[in-house]
Amino acid sequence: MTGHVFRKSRVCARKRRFFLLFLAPSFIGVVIFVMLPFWDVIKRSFTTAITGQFCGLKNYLTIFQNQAFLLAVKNTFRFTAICIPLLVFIGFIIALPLSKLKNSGLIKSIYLFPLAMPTATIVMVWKMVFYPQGFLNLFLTRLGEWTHLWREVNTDYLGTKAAFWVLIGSYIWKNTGYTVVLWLAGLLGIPLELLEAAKVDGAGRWQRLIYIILPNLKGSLYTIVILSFLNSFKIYREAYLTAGSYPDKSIYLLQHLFNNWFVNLELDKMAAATVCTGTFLVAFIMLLQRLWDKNEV
Amino acid sequence: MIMKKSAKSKVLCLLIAGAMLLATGCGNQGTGATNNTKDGAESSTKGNSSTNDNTAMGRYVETEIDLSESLEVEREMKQLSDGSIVIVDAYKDFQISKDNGVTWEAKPVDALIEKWKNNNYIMDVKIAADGTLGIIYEDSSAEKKEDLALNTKCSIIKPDGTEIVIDFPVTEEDMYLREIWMTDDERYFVTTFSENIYEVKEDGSSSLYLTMDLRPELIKFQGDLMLMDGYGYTEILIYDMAKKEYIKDGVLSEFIQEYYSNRDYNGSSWFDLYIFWGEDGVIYLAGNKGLHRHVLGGSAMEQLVDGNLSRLGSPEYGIVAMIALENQEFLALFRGGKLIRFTYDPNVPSVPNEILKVYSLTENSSFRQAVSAYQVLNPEVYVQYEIGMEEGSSVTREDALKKLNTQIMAGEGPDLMVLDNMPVDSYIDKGLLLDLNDTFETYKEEFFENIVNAFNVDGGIYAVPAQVYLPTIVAKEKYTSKMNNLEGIAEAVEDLRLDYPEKDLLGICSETGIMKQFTMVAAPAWRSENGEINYGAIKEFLTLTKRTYDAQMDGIDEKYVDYYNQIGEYLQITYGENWEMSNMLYSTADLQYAGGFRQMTQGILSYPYGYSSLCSIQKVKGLEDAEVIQMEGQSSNVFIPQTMIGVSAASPRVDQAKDFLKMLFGEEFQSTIGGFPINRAAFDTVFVPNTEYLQEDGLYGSIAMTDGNGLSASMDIYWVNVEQLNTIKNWMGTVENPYIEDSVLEEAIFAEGTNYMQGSKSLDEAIDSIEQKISIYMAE
Repeated sequence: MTGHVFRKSRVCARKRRFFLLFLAPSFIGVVIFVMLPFWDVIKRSFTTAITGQFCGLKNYLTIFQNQAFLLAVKNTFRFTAICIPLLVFIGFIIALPLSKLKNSGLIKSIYLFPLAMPTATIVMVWKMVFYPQGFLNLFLTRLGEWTHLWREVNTDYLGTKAAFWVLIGSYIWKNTGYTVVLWLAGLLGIPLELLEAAKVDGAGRWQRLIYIILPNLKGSLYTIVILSFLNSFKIYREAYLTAGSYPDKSIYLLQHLFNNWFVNLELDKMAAATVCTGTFLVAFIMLLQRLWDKNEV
Repeated sequence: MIMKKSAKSKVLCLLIAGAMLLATGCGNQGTGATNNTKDGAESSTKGNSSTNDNTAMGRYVETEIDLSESLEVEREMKQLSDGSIVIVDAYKDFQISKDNGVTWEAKPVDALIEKWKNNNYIMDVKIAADGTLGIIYEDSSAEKKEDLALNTKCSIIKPDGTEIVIDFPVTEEDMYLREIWMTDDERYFVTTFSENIYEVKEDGSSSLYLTMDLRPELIKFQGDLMLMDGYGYTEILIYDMAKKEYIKDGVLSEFIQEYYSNRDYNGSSWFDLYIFWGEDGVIYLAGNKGLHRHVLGGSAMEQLVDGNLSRLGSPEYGIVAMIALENQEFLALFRGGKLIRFTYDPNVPSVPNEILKVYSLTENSSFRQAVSAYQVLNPEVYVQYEIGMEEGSSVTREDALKKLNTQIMAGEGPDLMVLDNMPVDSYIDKGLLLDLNDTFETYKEEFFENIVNAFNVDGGIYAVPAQVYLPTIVAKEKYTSKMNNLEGIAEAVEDLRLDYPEKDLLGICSETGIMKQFTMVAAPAWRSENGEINYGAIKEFLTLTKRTYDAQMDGIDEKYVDYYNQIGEYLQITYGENWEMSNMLYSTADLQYAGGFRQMTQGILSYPYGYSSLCSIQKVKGLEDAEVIQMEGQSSNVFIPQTMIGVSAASPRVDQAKDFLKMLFGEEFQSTIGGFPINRAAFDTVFVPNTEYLQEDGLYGSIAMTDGNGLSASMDIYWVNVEQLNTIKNWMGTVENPYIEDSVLEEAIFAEGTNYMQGSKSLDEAIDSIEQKISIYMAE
């Protein structure tokens, strides 16, 4: 008996050693390239930029009184709050019929095409179509005039508040394919037996969707939301390349602010803002994970 | 088991500790001088030995010989077959040295003296290794031609004095002969205004030898090989005269494209890049990157002299000629008669151990000149000059500043910076810049104190311009009397329109152009003392510039507008330049005004000769009542600071940086950098004319131009008189408001101002849009 326990604990120890061995490279990488620099940022958020003198919470107070920071936070939050549900929903709506097709490879590739396009190319196309005389700009203007669906008719969709919706459109266009693929993976992972059994039990399409499919996609949902959330920060490249450091107020994001602060050596403010943003992000992801874990139980 | 667990914990702790140790370098500040010697050695010159402390040793050192009194128009320097070295001058005696360039004596040249006596204009003179002279000159006795073609002739003068005048049929395309090029084996070639190269022979005949795509400005021979370089040449051409084919050298071409793609030849007077032959098949290249050696067809470019450590890197030293001597020495002749001897000294470090790091966002020739001058005065210090946005690179201002800020935060920042177009306010606010009060307080009386004090921030002086420009207007007194502010200018332009219907008044035919022109005297009023934007002032600015623009465009002949647009398009297509963003458009245009191409001239006055030129307008018939006045806008007494210098407060080499400042702001250097110096004595010096050119009546020179329609104008330039000198001195003594460009604010104003002027927005809408656009910028 003792010999068995001893052997078992030796196996466990070996497993743990392998676990640590595999974990070590990425862990060291994260420590060196993420945690320690972030620790340095936290330290700098309590000091002056150049002289490094301790200044308490001054930097934090400054950023929360800074209108540019508040606007950037608001815009970033607004953008995320609109984009992610929209993307998740659109992706699911497209993936659901696709999952029933036998040969959906080509369609999937087409959906992934925007993701493969270089940002610089997208920006050039954007500039062309949204140039005041660009066809999409003119088309949207006419559409607005005819339908009266939007209150004011814009003639410059990148230089006015409408730029925000252009940015949303771009994000959805670029990321839908990726989301569709993730949804498809989740949908195809649902055991057919479950769906067949439900069908035999008399469940209709809608019921199968609500009671079988959606509960089985919680894992995919978590991954999609986290990835979409992180991808939403990458939209800055398009916004910056199209409209520069000072775009229309509606698409002024946190990254614009950080970029401009970096240029002007406002690293103390930047450090404080980064700590706040980082804390929020970690808290948000933890919260999502907790919610998911809770539902799993 | 417990022990094993503890061992794992230890390993984990060690890993974390190691990582933390590595990361401690991240926040290290004030270690700017780390590893200097190694860095320097990597970019060093011919350092091939080393001492025990691993310092690479050996470098070319420079000795200057001043021949400025003996030379006037230097054309060539050549080592003759008898070993003597000759400096060929078109208008002075030749200088000859028989001791490898140590001592020099004058040698009169009878053939040239005769040409001077006959008032023949010497276009070019060269010498062959055997002493044969080749002269291109304009024959003053010949009948004048109607067009721009000149009566040029070519003479070959043998060492025994025999003169052979070449029978040269100059075609219409050739227009005139420009230069003569001589091989060491008695072959002579002549280049003309066109792309043709002719071979001339001692029997007096000539024949077309080659027709190039672009005219060569520099030709050098070795055996059968002919090196050619010129404007627009993407590479140096190597032509084999025996095989009649070009030789390709990829390494040489790549080097040229990387380092000298924008080289100038200054009318073949001095060269940004001078190429010359050395030993068999060896080409030397001298320019601001230093002196490089290349074996034809070889795979390397060997740097013998680092431009950063040499006069070769200074814009002040334009290279006229250079030769390789037998004992691995070099002799370089620079414009102004400065002769530099490069001697290899194995006992000095390849790169000085002390390093002073200096930085500017863009290439600044005045500052480069200062770097070079300081380097020459302090050979024990290596001035490492970094340019954020190198010419031709795709680096943006933001990229460059982010890189600089990273360096600063890592403690690797520059000791001294040129702050032009940099976020000076933020740097001062963050404590990056050193208070230079003590430096300027000591020599207070030496400077225009008002200019230094204009940069006083809470009692500290953190940035000081090395030179300034002055916004100026020239117009008839009837109009200038009204131009006391921006409204007065608008009123005067409206008067001009009434007096000169259809004429071009200002030389600018676009909304942005007009706004930008007057921004320099308005922008200082757009911000209050606490930095807030004064929208009322911007509103007034837009209203008044619209009046000015409307008056300029009201009834103007379309040909002026077309001409203006054509220049803009040409610059955009040819050089990729936005004309409306170029200082060229906003500089005073003396000749255009004097020639009647426009009815006033306004803009940036940037150098003393320019002021003399503006003052000379009064001597033009019909413009006797023209006045040169300071441009006054919404702000008065405005000046435009240039080459603003700041010292890093974190620099470990503050004393050296201050030493650099002492030289930069000293009288001697200030009087050479261009612009208007802020050193009083230097200011006086730059207004002392060269007596060689000054005539009794004050005549100093003349300028001429032809416009796109073939209309031409010329004007005599008279050096300023005492009264005019006192006027500009008084301006310099009273200016107090610096115009510092704020590109974000100005871009918003120009964009919305254009909408307002074109009528697509009302004034209030334009102001609202400006407010919207810059609110984020202001909030940051």
